Amino acid sequence: MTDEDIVRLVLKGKQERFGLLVERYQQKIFGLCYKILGNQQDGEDAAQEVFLKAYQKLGTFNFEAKFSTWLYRVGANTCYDYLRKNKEKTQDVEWEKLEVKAEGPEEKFQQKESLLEIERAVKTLSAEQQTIVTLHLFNGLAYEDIAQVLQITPEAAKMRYYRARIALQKELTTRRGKVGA
Amino acid sequence: MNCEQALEYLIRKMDNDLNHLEEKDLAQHLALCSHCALVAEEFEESQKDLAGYFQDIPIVSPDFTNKVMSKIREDKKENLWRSPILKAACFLVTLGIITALALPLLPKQSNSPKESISQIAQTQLPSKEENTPAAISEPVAEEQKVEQTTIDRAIFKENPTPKAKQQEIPVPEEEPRPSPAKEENSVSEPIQVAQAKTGNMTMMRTLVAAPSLVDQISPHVPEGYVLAKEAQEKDEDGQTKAIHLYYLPNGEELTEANQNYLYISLDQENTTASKQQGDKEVIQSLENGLVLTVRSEKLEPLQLAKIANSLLTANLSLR
Repeated sequence: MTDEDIVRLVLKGKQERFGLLVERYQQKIFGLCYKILGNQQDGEDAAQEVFLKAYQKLGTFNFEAKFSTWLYRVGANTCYDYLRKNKEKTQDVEWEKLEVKAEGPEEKFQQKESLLEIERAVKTLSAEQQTIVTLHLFNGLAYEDIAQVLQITPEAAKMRYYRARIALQKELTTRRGKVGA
Repeated sequence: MNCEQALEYLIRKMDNDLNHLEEKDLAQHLALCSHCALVAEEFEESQKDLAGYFQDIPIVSPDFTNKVMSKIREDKKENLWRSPILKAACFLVTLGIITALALPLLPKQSNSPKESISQIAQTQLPSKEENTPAAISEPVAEEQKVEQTTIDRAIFKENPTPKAKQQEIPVPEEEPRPSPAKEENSVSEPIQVAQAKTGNMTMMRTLVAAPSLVDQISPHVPEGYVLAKEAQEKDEDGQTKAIHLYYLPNGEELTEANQNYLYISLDQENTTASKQQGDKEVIQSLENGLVLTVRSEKLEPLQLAKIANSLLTANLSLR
């Protein structure tokens, strides 16, 4: 059953079927929120809000775009709102919760340091840039889909991703004390 | 190719978005430009790190779906309660009840328009035979006196059966009728409404009452709990497809802040999204396909399970 089939059933009154969509997208939406907001609790709270909003606004879904794209748009807007409301709260990923695959303690420490370095570099990007980079590199969205999420043209989505990626590269290179991009 | 173009190609290369010819052009540029070659090295190194970073996502809590669906159910109920149409309907029904109760108290004037209105109003009250203002005003006065009012169900039925007639007409399916004094208590027990004077609750009951089902469910709730609110959902054909009941410890009022309520619902939907229920909720499918939900923040999980189990054996049905 496709996402859109489920949406039709929910709109016809089968409310509980929405749970299938939650199960399908919970990890992806949580991942998006987690990467943008920076910690598990905020990520999970925001992700729950995303699904609640999506359910409330389901009647506005017009079946022209993919449901997943529409859901990501709700997700991105929810995270923007969250960031706006909690501007003073700078979230840093929790060191203890970082999971790395390295075997020795020294290698683990280095990998965790590297992850934190990337985390801090990503956080220097604007909320929109963070969203674009996350949607592309974590959610695997093509520029066409990112364009629908952000309601811009695919060309603009591509250019904004390029700019975000270059800005991120510069930040990483500077942090690592190497040559600027 | 200039350095700016090379940078764009580098990003596209990270996406595996370069064709063979473009890759060749980039390689040629990198062979000639040491700065870009260094940048390319940085990009490749950071791309691996970024991939690792974006894979580092904790697994979402196992009860995530359940939490979301609970929020959705709560939200739906709140919206139902806040519905402007329902509010307007409640207002009109309250107005009707107040009018019906107040008119008999007015002085009787023969052959006046008021009298005929009063007579119409009196036909909605329980006692049809004792059609005098004094007889009708008696239960009204009683209701006004009592803080926790017991409401005679007959008032809320669409086609009320006068009490006097109930005693005359034998009803073979029902259990032997108790004495009038006893009857008052026994009838009132399952359908006591907390804060019955509160207009909204009385009105909601009038609109959506499904007494037979309430009677079936109410004996299974813990002692001291009284029905505070009930609501029905209907399908396009006007058939009941779900009923939602809220019980509260006696004397408590149903407000948004009060989480002490015991919620029991029967729903035609048998597509419960998740079977992972928290310890505050029990969801069970009945043999007839209905879904029974019992939820309370206050009661112990064991108590909830007991209530659900006893309801499972009660042959509940929406029709």
